Formats: sequence, structure tokens, C-alpha cells
Amino acid sequence: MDARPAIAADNIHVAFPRAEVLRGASLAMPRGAVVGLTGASGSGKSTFAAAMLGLVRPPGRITGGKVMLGDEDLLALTGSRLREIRGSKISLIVQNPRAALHPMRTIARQIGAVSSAHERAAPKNADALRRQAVDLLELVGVNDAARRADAFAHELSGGMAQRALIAMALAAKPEILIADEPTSGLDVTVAAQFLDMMAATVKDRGVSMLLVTQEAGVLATYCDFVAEMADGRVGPLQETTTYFKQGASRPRRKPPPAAEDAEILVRVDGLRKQFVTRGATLTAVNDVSLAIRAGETLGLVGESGSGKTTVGRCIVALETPTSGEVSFAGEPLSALKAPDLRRLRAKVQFVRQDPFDSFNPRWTIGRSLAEPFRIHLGSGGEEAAAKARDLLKEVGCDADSADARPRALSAGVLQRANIARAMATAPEFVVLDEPTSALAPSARGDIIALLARLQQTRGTAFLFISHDLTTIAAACHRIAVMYLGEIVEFGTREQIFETPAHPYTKALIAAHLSDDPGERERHAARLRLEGEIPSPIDLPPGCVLASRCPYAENRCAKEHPQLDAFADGRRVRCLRAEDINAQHETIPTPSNATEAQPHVD
Amino acid sequence: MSVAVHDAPAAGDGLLKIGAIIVGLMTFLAIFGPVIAPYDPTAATDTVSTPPPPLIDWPRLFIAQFDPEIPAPHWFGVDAAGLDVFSRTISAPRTDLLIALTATAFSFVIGVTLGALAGFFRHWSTELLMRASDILQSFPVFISAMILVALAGRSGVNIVLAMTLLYSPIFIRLTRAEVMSLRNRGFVEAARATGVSERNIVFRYVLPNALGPAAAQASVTIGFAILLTAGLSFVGAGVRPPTPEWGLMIANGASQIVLGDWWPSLFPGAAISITVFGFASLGHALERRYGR
Repeated sequence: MDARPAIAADNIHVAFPRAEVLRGASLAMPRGAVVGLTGASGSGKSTFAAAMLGLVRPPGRITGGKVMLGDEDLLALTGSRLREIRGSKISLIVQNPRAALHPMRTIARQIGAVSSAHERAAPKNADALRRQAVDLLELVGVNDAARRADAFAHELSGGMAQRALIAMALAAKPEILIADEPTSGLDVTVAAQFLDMMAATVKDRGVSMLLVTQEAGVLATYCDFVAEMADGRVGPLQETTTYFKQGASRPRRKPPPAAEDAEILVRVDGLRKQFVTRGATLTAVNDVSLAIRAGETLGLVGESGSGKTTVGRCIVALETPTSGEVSFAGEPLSALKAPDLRRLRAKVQFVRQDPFDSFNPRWTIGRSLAEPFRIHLGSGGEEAAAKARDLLKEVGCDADSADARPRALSAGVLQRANIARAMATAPEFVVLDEPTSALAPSARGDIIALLARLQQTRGTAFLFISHDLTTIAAACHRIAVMYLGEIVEFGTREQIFETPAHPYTKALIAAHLSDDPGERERHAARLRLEGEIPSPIDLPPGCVLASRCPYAENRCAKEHPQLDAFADGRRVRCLRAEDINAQHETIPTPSNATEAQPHVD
Repeated sequence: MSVAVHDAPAAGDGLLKIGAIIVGLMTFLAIFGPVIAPYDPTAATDTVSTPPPPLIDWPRLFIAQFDPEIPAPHWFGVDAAGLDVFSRTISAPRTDLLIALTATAFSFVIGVTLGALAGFFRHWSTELLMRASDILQSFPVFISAMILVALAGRSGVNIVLAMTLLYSPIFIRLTRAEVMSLRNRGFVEAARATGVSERNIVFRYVLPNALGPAAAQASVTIGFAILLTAGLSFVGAGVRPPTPEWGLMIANGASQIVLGDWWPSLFPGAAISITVFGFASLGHALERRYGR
């Protein structure tokens, strides 16, 4: 085997009119390995992945560097030779699979076009090309490949479209595959199946893969090496175990304990939120009731589209509930007039997911941070500026970052500033909406530690919203699990993680990819959900999970379960909660399990 | 970040430079044109219908200009009325640019303010405003302007008012779209969660961030406004003769073209083309850089 790297990017620079996104990024990919490329949002991961093929989003430009593939510099090539290499030697899989497929051609035609463009040996007639496409679709685990091959992009689910895309990428038998967050649009349980398939196919064909991801679990489970990007540069290539052993920045396993008898600060009762879109009514949140105690962290976990963010937004009165009530310290929010509501904002705060989008792009961080002091404490200009600097120091930022504009700062620093702004008026309660998902896995632990420290010193209560079980486990005392707008299970951290009672919680925990590379073998899934999430526009009359649940009986499709008290004090929304948890050991396998279990013990 | 990737384009900077040079030159002429013009742009000289000197003689004639005794040549010739075409061509920006700039400035201020309100507040009055803009934009600008000026009377002020009315909808629409997308941005919500009042959100957070595309459009609109000013004069609905104005000059020269006198129309025509191209290039370059 060739000892040279499969592909080597050397000192790549990419400049956009207002910023240099890559400043000398280099990476040599070992042959036949899966390299995980991670880093905070805005660190240049996607730009780097595209630059490996000599591509860049306009108005950006590649201003320097080399990408050596064998003896050829990809960036120096033009025209037909470059097109020949793209696709036949190196392929790209992008984030949004449905947008990447041609909307007006069948899947088979698109796959056929790739192979006939790149392979001399490719069959010349349409039928043979189609047969080859069907084979490829079967290879990537598409059920009923012959029928799917004649489908159009809009007829496929997200997971299916992503598989079609990888089939297309493999059509010309590339040596190198670059996948840019291939699972970011997929639901957790589908993502795990897809990644298993992709990892197996790549190993099977001896392809070298660059996998861009922000999920610690994906890095730990599927990658041989990890490189972290920061500031437009790629860090050293580390073995996955080494990367995760540098425990300093790894999330703590457990939050510091909170007082269990504290009074209830926030109460949510029968919250329901509907959105009307083009005549159809979408129920985003249905019958959600929660109680958050002073000084504790309540985790709200669920997949994208489960309604968890809407719950958070209703609690901080950024959204008006359709019905139900949110009360803070015994006072219902719906009774408040606009000026009173603005005063309440000092006590109830909100931290958004994307730190880059959370600050006025034209203002310095200091000016944004001075706003709460100006509004709620009546501080004058200089006083507010001084307080903003103190606050930045308290959250572990350089006080000089007050003079920077958002674009000049990293996601980590910006998210600290974001938290600092929320803490400015010493609120009693803060809603944190995915506060760590924009950060590199290595930076998440620091943010969770910061939140724990703030909670200890100030006694603030948090509602921590996340789809990531690792951060939820590290940050929360009690956890509510949401599925399709409803809370399906609500219990303590230990109850949820150690003995999940609701079938959905069980599946979620089973699909969870641990961020410990040592636990790879244990990932072999125990419970798999079938099919896709139903549309929230016409929800089934019975249990919303019934169509995917392996425990479902006839009555599950008719009767809507309530969030009832379970034996050990938690609450579970399942008609069969008692009987399915009586005999833990026997978990039925999905009847038509097409996904072979990929990890052999 | 699911934006399509392309091979890197390298245009943009050149466009910006060319645009800036032309705009700079025209601005200079708008201020100093009549001052540096060798002849009075509105008074007849002692010749008529004289062609410009052949190009080969231009360096010699130019050097001769350092001798104050020698009269200035008619660089672009003399028209049928005895007016020096060069002096009129370089004096015209003061008329054309002034009208175009004023009309664009009014349209910008009115359009951005109304557009911001329409984007931020959904109300029957803002809906009415948008439908009114639809109606205004559904007529050809040139015809509407001609009718408006004909009804109100031929004067610089009326031309500016007509153009303001016709160009405001562009800025209303642009700003409204921008504000509507900004309204849902995270930093606006973060401000609301901090307790910033709605009025402050509109004027301190949203509006300053919404100006980019409108500013880029302004440059393009100035170009179109120059073209419209000249066009109106050409059909006799613009400024009155003998004001030095490109459209008027082309119209006057047009009747002479059949006699072989190409110069009274060619030079102002070229000036219009270059100016419109300059403003449009600057606008596109700015849009690419600061717009969406």
C-alpha cells in the first residue's frame, strides 16, 4: 500500500470579502481511515471540506495552499481534468440531502449520470445503468431499491435521500469521501442507522473518509482519528482515544446536587401551542405541564421538531401559548401588561442556541452587554460599560473582548458572552436553548462547568433544552423527554438514564452514541424504532408513538395516554408502562429489521 | 449552511474600481463642469455645425492650450445652434446628476422608512401601502413619469417629485423584505428577551442592519434616474432648452444626423452610457460586497 497520505491539504487559505475563514489549514488524511473533523460553528469546517475539492462558496476565494492528491495539486488543476478527479477519486456528501438531489430526475438517472461520466467501464445503455444504480442503492441499505430507484427526490424521506446521495458519491468508486455533517438533518434514531451503514461501506471498500461533525458521539463511535478546527486552522491529527482521553475539557458526568425541597419557581400547566400554516394547524406543543424548583436544572430533551424550543419560548413569553398557563413565582404571565412584562425580563432570561446570531452584528460585545444594565438598573454609559467588562471576566472571557464585534470572536467566547448577558440582571431563572450545540465537543464541558458554577454562586434555576443526551446527563437534575409536542416521561436524571420506562425514552437512550470510544461495542442497538416521525399537522388520535412502537397494542392506536404517575414517582405517558417494565429483559426486536446489527461483539 | 458551492469567481473588485472612478468623475463635473468649460454652455459661438477636430490633432491642440492667446478648440464640435458641444456635455452633470441624486435621496429616505414600518408591523395600513406600491410598479416608469411631468408642468422640481413617487416602491419593497427577515433573527429576539422596547428594537437593532441592500440599490437607481431625466428631455417632457442637459442635446442633434452631423448627439449619448454604467457597476459591486 502507498505510504503517502490519501490526500493532503497544505496551508489552505480561503478569504471572504469581510473575513479570512481559512488561515493556513493543513491536514494529511491517512489511507483507509475515517478522520473526524470537528470544531465550533464558524471555525471553518465546511469551508475546509469544500476546499479539499477546490470548491468555495461565492464570494469567497481560495487564496493560497495546495491539495495534493497523489502527484497532482487539485487547486492548480482546471477544467476537464479537475472534473474527472471530482467524483472519480474524491466525492462530497453535503448536509442537506434533499436539496442536493436534482428535483426533476429519478434517483437512478442521477446515479447513472455519475457512473457514466466517470467510468470507462460503465455500461452504455440505460437499463444496465439503472441496474447498477439499484445495486448501489441496495448496498447502502435502501429497502425496496428497485422501486426507490425510480423515485424523485421529494418522494424520499430525509434518511432515504441521504442514502441515495452516498450511493451517488460511491457510484464512480472514489478513493476519498468527504461527508459534511451528513446526519445533521436526520432524526437521531435514523442517523444512527445511516452512520452504521456508511461506516461499514467505507471500511468495506477501503475508502478514506473525512467526516465533518460536531457530535462527540459520532467522533467516538465512527472515527479512527480526530482533528479539531479552530480559528481557520486544523489542529493536530489525534487518535480518537487520545482525543477523548484529554479529560480536562470533557463534560463532567454529573451535575452538583441541588436542594430537593426548594420551592417551585416556574409552573407550566397544560401548555398548548399551535401554529397555523397555509390553512393547516400544526400542534407544536400539546398538554405540557412542568414545575421547576428554585436553584435546580431541569433538562428538556427531544429530537428536532419535538417542540422543546417552543416550550422554552412560551416560558419566557417570546411566544403566546394557544392555551394553558405559565406562571413565575406564583404570578401568571398572561395577566402581565407590556411594561410589567419588560420588568419581569430582569428575572427571567433566555440564552439562544446560535451565539453568532444572538448579538447585533454592528455593535461591540460590550455595547450589547451594557443593554440589560441600562434598561433594568438604569446604569449610565460608563457605569454600564464597566459592569459589562466585569461580567465578561466572571464568565471567563478576556475583558478586552468587550471591544470586539461578534464576527471577530470564536463561538466559545461568544456563547460565554451570551450567557453573561443573560446573567447580567441576576435573574432567578434562565432558559438555555441548546447552549452547547454550536460549540466544539471539547469546549462543551467548560460551558457546562460555567453554568454549574453560576448556579452554585447565584442560585439560578435553569431549563436546559438539548437534543444531546451527553450534555443533558452532565448538566441536569431532573429530565423531561419530549416527543411530538408531548412530554412522554418526566423523572430524575438517574431514573431516565438508568431505567427508562417509556418506549421512546428507551429507544432514545439506545440510539445515543456515547462520547467514550471504549463503549463502541455497547452501541449495538437494543431497541430500534421503525419508520419516521408522523407529521405534527394531523396527529394520530391515540398514542403518538403507536405507529413506531414495538410494544404497541390495538388500544394504543385509539386511546390517548395521559402523563400518569409511575411506581417510583416519575411520570410516564404510556398505556402499557406498568406491564412493559415489569419484565425488563425481553425487548421485542422490530419485525422486519432490515438493518443488520453492524457492531459485532 | 446548505448553500451551494461553486468554483471561485474573481470579479467584483474591478467592477468596484471602474464604477468608483466614473462616479467620481461625474461628481467632479457636476460641481466644477460649468467652471472649467471653455465656452458658455448656453451662448452661441461664432460658428455653427462644425465637426470636432480629427483625433490626430488633439495632442497638438491640447499642448497649444498652455498659450493663453490661442482660443480653445471645439473638442466635440459645434451644433446647429452654434453651441459648443464639449462645454455643454461637461456642464450637463450639474443638471442630470442633481435631479437624479435628489430624486434617489428622497426615494431612499421615504422608501426605507415606510419599508421598515411595513416589514415590522402587520396592519391594514401597511398592507394598503404595499398594494399601492404594486400599482405604481405595474406601470412602465417612463410613461408614468412623462404623464406626471406633463400634468404638473416641465420643471426640475416636478421631475424630482415624479421620480420620487415612482422609485420609492423599490426601496419600500427591498427594506421591507430585509426587515422581515431580520425581525426573526436571533439578536432581535435576544434584545426582546433582554427587555428592549419595540420602538428601540426597530430603530436601533433592525433598521441599521437593513440598510445594506437599499444602499446598494441607491447607486443603481441613480443610474436609472439619469437615464430617465435624459429620456424625458428627449421627448420634450424634461427640462427646458437651452439648459445643458444630455437628453436635450441628443434630441437637438437628432435632426442633424441625417445631414451627417453625428457629433451633437454622439458625445452626450456616450456620456449617458458611461455614467449609467458607472453607477450600476458601483451598485452591483456594493451589493455583492455588503448586500445579500
